[in-house]
Amino acid sequence: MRESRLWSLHLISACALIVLLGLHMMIMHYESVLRWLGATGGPALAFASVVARDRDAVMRALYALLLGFALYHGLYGARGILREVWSSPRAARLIDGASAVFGVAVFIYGVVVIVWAGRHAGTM
Amino acid sequence: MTIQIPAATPHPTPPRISRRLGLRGWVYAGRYPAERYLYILHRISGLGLILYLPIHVWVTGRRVAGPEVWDQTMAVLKHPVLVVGEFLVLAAFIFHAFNGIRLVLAHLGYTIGRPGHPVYPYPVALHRQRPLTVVLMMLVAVFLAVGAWEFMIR
Repeated sequence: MRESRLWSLHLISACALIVLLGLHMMIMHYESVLRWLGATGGPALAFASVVARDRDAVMRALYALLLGFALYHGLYGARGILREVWSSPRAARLIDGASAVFGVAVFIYGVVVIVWAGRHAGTM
Repeated sequence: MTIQIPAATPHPTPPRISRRLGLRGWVYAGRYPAERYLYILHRISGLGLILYLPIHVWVTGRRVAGPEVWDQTMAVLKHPVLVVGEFLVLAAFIFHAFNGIRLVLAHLGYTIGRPGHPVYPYPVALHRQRPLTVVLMMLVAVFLAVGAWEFMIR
């Protein structure tokens, strides 16, 4: 039951990532296409643009969601591949534990950066 | 007269042969259709993306150190090797996303047809999904081409 729930969350995160990560990639790597579609604003990687996104609460929430879904989806997939290569019960527990600890650590770091940047946007 | 029946000779213990292919199975293990190689590429692109993600989180976290540090970081990322690497990340995401759409649809039972009787010519789910596979790979090619053009004009 637990594995089927984890797998369902893997599919849900995949669908969420198609939208969230797709938008992120469009903003970062398809600037000309977005300008042709009528988008305005400076270069995505200019510090002023980064600060503007940090000020927007909706963008901060979307970044946190993107990070959470990406970490879960990626680490669940990597966990599956690693458990195929090392399939003993002890290796499975190690892989599961390491994936969970690593994912939580990176998520906490990312959210702290998002919150801190949001609070100090414009004062840096 | 008694008939001596010789004692049965014990069967020799067969040698332990591992039939697990391991990573070699990712390359070839028989009649792999094209979709099998798409799945292997899906795994490789996924591993590449999850290995890139923590580095990306750390690099983008540099913005909290101020505009000078951010501009220095962006200048480092303009190195040609890193620009190629960034394009590979974009390519990995484009392929992983579109192939993932195919996999999610197949997992949920869409685009693979109904189960049929095993009557020749046998219906195969992969063949039923092949038109969608071709369309999705064409979309991957289009997005990759536009992405490559964006990188070149930067």
